Amino acid sequence: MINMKKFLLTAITAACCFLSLVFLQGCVKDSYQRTYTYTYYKPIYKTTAEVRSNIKSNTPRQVERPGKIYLKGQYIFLNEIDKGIHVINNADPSNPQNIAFIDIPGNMDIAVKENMLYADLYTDLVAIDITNPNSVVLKKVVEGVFPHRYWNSSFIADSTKIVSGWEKRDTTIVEKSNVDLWLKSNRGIFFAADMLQSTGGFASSANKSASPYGVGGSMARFTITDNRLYTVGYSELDVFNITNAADPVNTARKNMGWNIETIYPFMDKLFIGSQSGMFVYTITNPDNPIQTGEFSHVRSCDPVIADNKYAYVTLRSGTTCQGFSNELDILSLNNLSNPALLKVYNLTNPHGLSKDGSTLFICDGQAGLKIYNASDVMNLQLVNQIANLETYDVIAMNGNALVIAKDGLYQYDYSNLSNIRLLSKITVSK
Amino acid sequence: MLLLLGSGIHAQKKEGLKFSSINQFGILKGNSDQTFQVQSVNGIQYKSWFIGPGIGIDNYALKTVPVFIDFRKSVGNKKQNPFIYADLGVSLPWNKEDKAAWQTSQYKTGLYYDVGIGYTVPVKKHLAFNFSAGYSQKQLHETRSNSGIIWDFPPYGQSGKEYFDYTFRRISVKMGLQF
Repeated sequence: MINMKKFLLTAITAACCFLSLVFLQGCVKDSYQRTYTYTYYKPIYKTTAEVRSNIKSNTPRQVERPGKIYLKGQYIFLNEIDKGIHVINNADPSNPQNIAFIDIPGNMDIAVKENMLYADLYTDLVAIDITNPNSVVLKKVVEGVFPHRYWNSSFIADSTKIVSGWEKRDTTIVEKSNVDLWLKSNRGIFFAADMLQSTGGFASSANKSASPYGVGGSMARFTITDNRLYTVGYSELDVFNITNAADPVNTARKNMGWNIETIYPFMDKLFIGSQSGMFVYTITNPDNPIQTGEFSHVRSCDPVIADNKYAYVTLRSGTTCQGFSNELDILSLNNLSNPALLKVYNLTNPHGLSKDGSTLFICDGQAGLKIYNASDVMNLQLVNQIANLETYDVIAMNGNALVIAKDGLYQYDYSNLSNIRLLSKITVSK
Repeated sequence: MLLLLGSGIHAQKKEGLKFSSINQFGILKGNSDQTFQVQSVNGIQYKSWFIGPGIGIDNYALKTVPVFIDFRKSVGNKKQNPFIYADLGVSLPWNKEDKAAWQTSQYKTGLYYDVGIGYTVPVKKHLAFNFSAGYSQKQLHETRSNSGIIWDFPPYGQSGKEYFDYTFRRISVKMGLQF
C-alpha cells in the first residue's frame, strides 16, 4: 500500500511537471522594449534672390563647425561648414576679433586672390570683393560649376530653391517586439562578444566638427596660382580664369578619375591628392592642366604639401576613404613624372600639415600637433608636441601657427620651437 | 547571513534548524534560446521549509548571474516528497560592457524569478536527489551607443543612445543534489 501511494505520488508529480512544461510553452515569448532618440534636420529653404542678397558682411556669429581656413593679410577667413565664412581680424594674434559673417549656404571651400574671395555655394561659384571686410560685396555668381554636391539619407532637395539652413528636430521612438524576431534581423545584439572588426556598413567620419572634405591649408579643394583658380570636385578639375578678379570664367574641366580629395600648387605644378594616390599636373598652359606624374598608394585621404625638393603626404585610417595606413610619406620631386617614395613615418592619425622653412607641422589627430625638424627628411626629429588636442589642419608662417582643432581655432607662437606659446583660441560652440 | 549558515555546516540541530546545500544544473528553454543553467543554494532547513541565498549562471540569450533567495516547501512529512519552490532576486549581467567596431553596449541588472514544483528522492543519509520544473523570467537592461556614421554633411542626422529593456521567459528544468 505504501509503495502504491508513493508510486502514485511520484507519477502525479511527474505528470504535473510534464503538463506544466506543455502549458508554459505558450508563455515563453521573449520580448523587448527599445527606446531611442533620433536627431533629424529639416531643410529651411530660401529663394535664390534671398540668398544672394544676403551674401554680405552680416553680424558675426559663434564658430560652430569650422572648416576650411584662409589667411589674407591680417584677416582670417574661416569657413563655417555649409553656412558661410567668418571674417576674423587677426591684427593681434593674441586677441583675434570675429568681426563679420558672410552668409553663403552650402559653402565648403574658399580661396582668396588680392581683394577677391572665391567660395562655393552648393553648385555655384561666387566671387566676393573683400576690400573692406566689414562690408563685402558680391560681384559675380557662376552657376552650376560644382555638380558633385550630394546629400545623405536619400534626401532630395527642392531644385527650385536653396537650402539655407536646417531645423533640428529630436524624435523619441518607443517600440516593442519579440526578441526572437529581433534576433533574426539583428544578430549582433547577443553576439557582440563574438564580433571582430566591422566588415562594412558603418564607417566613422573624421569628426562632426569638420568638413567631410577636410579643412583648409593642405586639405583645400580650391587653390589659386597666378590668374587661375583651380578647384577639384569629386572627379573633376575645374579651371577659372580670374585675370579679371571680379569676373571668374570657367575655362576648362578635366576628368580626373574618382575620389579626388585635395589640391596644392607647387611652382608650375598642381599636386592633387586622391583616394588612390597623388597626381602631378603641369600647368605650363594654365588652362590645360596635363598629368605628368602619379604616385599610386593605398586608399586613403591625402593632404599634401611640397617644398622645392620634396612632397609631404599624410595618409590616415578611419575615414570614408577606408584606408588602413596612418603615416607620413616623403616623396622626392627630382622626377615629377614619377615621384619616388623616400621614407615612411608611422603616425597616429595624421590630417593636415604645413611647413615653414625646415620646420614641419603635422596635425596628428588625437595625438595633437607635432612639430618636426625636417632638415634631413630621412631623419625627422620631433622637437615639440602639443598634446591633448584633436587637430585637423595647420597653417604655419612667420612664427605664427593657426591650428584647426576639434574644439576651436588655436594660434601658437612658434618663434621659439622649444617653447611654443598659445596666443589665443576661438572656441567652437556646441 | 553566510556566517549564520556556516554555523550550520556541521549539521548542528538547534531547534530543528539544519544547514542544507542544493547544487543543481539544468536547462532553460524559451523562444529565443535553449541552453544551460547551474545554481548553488545554501540555506536553512526547518521541518518542511527551506530558505537560503543562491547564485548561479544563466546562459540564456544574454549570459547573467542570478542572485536570489530560494524558498521551498515540501508537501508531506516524508523524506521523499514533492515540493514547491520560488526563487526571487536579480540578474547580474555577465559582461557589463560589450564593444564592437561601431557599437558599445552596457548592461544593467534586472529582475529574476523562478517558480515551480519538484521532487526530492533520498539517495543516502543526508543526501538527496532533486528534480524540478518551472517557469523562469529574467530581465536585463541595455544601453547602446553607436559610434558609426555621424553625418557631417546634410541633412545631418545622428542617432542618440538606444535603450533596451529585455524580458526573457523560459521553462526551467533542473536537477541536482541536496545535502
